[in-house]
Amino acid sequence: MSRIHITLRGSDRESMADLVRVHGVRVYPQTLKEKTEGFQVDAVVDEAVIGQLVDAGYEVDQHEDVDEAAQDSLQQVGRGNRFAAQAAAFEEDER
Amino acid sequence: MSYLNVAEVETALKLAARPANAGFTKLITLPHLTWEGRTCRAIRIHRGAPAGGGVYLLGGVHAREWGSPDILINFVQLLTDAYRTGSGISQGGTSLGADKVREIVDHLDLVVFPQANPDGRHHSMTVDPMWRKNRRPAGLGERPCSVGDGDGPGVDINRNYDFLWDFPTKFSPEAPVVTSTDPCSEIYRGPAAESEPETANVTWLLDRSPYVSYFIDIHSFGEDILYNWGDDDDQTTDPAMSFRNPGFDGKRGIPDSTPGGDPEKYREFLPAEDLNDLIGLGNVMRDAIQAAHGRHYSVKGAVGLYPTSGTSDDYAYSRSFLDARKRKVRGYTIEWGPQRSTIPKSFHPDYPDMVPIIEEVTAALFAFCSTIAGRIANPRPAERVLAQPGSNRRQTAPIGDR
Repeated sequence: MSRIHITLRGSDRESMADLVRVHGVRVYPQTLKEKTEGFQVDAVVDEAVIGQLVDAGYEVDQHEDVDEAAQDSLQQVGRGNRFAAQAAAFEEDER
Repeated sequence: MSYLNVAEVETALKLAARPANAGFTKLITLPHLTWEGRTCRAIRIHRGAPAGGGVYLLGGVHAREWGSPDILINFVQLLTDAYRTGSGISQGGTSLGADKVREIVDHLDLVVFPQANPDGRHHSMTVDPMWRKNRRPAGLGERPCSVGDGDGPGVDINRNYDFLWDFPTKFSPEAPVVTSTDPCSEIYRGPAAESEPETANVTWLLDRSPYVSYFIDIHSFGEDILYNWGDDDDQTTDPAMSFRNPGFDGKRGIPDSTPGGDPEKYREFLPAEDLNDLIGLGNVMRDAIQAAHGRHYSVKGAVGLYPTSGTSDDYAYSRSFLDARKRKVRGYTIEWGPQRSTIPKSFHPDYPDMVPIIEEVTAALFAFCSTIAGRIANPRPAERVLAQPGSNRRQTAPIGDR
């Protein structure tokens, strides 16, 4: 099942708290913002949950499929061991 | 340039503790093997007589927050190279004279554990970049999870510490606590407090670091410097209103800012002196970050609308309240980096974008350590700082009696 990054908007703090205590949504607390008309927070949810949140009265903006988008990041990881030669040289010195 | 993989973090740590640095470094092998059989290591940096204080730096707890070990390895490399060669440090906003480098190493017990969750990091860097937890396998009879290749559950290490871990009992049923009893949740607290080898390694090291007086856990994202407590708002006047008091079970975790306020009026006790110090040193880090590359981090209490339980910084700080023989360890969590266009990029920015973050957080850690080392090396009457709970505003007034 796809996991989707969404932005949720609710009318008050109580509704934003309900995301966790009633709906069990995995929110990112650091993204909570107070707006002129209520609050918003980002979350990652299974795709199937989005409709339930809309039915519960939240405004939902859908963003990326996080697992698909994250695959690009793997290219940013080091291959091999950049310190291996240096470590081998120190071990040689020790002998 | 690229993120350090699991093996590279370990090799970098061993290199920092090589024979040329033996006079002021010690490689520490942690006693608990991870679920996948990996050995974890930390480094202690100090020279000379017993230290007057210490700082414990932790990273790599959440697997997908790739930059945290890189930050701590950068910090260790700069410090050990500079001390060995008698030079200062200059890098992306950090400027520390050789005398200040000596002051840190000679007066502080520095404990750096950069990669607390190597299994999770390896999984995140090779299979599932969004993986957060450790790699605890599913137990006999447990349902497999739809994420993590069905090998779950995995435990969120930073919900597994023995601080209000039993949240269904300790918190109000109305509290939106960001933890879970569901093994397939990415914030699963684990089957028992400190059930995980990775958690036990962190606490083992704390037990054996009697000079440590500050603890900083490096995470992402959000550009925040968070201080104790994370379970509820802070208060400085009533020591009996505390996590230790079972009379408040079922009442914690509703911040005052909730509409209608907190019906239970619960706030977690934090002595004013500690609050002042936490805010003051948080501001030192904030200013160093701003000076590095102009980014503004917020200094604030860890609780927001969403309280937490079982976290490292609150556990570290809670210990001296439970056992007066233990040194007080004030706790921080740094959430590096801004939110970016996607959640994955927020956790693992392209490496060129990670470089200034490494530099700014390194600058913050040096400013923090230098301030504490300076206090120990040059004790003088302190200033009184009057702070308000939950605020980073402060006023100062001289007292001269400390």
